Amino acid sequence: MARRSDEELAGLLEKFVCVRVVQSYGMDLSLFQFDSQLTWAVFLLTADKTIYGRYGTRASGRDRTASISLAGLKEALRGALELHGAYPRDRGALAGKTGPAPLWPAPERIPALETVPWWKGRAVPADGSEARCIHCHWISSGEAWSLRATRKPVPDKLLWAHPTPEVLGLTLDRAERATVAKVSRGSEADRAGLRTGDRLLRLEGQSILSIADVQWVLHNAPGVGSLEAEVGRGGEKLDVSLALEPGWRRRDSLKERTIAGLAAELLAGTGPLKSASKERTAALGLADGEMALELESDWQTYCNPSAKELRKGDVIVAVDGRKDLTTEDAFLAHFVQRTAPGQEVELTVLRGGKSLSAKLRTP
Amino acid sequence: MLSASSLRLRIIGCLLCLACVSSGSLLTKALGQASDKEKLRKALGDVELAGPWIYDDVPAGFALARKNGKPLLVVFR
Repeated sequence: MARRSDEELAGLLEKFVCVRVVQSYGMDLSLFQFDSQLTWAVFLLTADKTIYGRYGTRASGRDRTASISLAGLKEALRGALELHGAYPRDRGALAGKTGPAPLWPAPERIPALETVPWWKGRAVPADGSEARCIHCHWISSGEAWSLRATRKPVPDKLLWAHPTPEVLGLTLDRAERATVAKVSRGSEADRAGLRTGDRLLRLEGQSILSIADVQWVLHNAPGVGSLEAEVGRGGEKLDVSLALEPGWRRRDSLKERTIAGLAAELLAGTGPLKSASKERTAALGLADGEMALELESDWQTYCNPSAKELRKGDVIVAVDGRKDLTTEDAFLAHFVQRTAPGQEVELTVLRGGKSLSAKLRTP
Repeated sequence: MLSASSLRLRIIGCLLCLACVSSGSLLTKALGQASDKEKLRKALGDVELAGPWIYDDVPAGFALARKNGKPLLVVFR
């Protein structure tokens, strides 16, 4: 059990101007770009808006806080203070920590947050001087929805945002800045020669204070290419190159992001799906690995009304003839990225030994 | 009973706020912004402010950082 006060942390925090932000209305999205799905995220930066680093990572699995710790936070603070002591000498090296121009300058300017009833109806009066309280986790999903609504491409970067290092086979120690705790065999990290205990000093030229800083580099990384890393090992510095293979970003999970829930409910109307078990697919006459996504619940009233005939236990085996959407993530991404407002979509569904056609109309 | 992840988030969040108690600063009130943000804090049912945290006012944070030369820590929570 942690102590109620932490003098070491207090001492570090005294060296910062500490600001707590509780909602995102008015947030400058040209500056504050982070995984908006987080319920707790930190920026370390200068008064002239040069970012030293980020802290805060949402782990997958049951324990969402498995990738953060007080020890790791203190390390990030110390790292920021080191950078601050040298500032502005290394200012050029910090340029990459600021993102490109945002799609919209502030959350309240994202069209979907003003027009989609699901968001609009959830406005919470704050102190009376502002009419809205915008939740951070609405930002990226609002952006995706707004792009889709105007038939513009929704990039993978927006859906699979801020990938965790695990997508490249790298697990980092949450108590350190960016120290390798584990390398998955055969992964990009393994093939690059990274080892347990290595310290990621720089990635794509950016100093690394935390796992979130690694995620920031991955977030802005190309679909195919490589990432150049400077690694500390046994007192020496090494240069390492991590390959980025096609589809690397999609290895991260889409399921727990807000956009996935919206796609499942408002677009597809299916609600949550799971891959049908081997026994179930065999009983249905499907080969192992064939598309077989099973509905986990009956249609709900808040879901796409054109899907109301769907039932718990239905198994979806094709979408408009496509049988390659073998995971829930692929299925939901298809609805976000490949359907347009007002489009008719045909699901091929197996129920009770029969093949049925369910025609949906996406909003 | 709280799950491990909920307990960890609460501990980190509380320690960030409570860790500044020892400094005893009244900086937020000195900036004259307590009344507006106090309404916000109460509307959200948020925890009591402790120490020198600036509440939901990023421009004030930048202004103070320009004045005292410190870096900023901005928490979104």
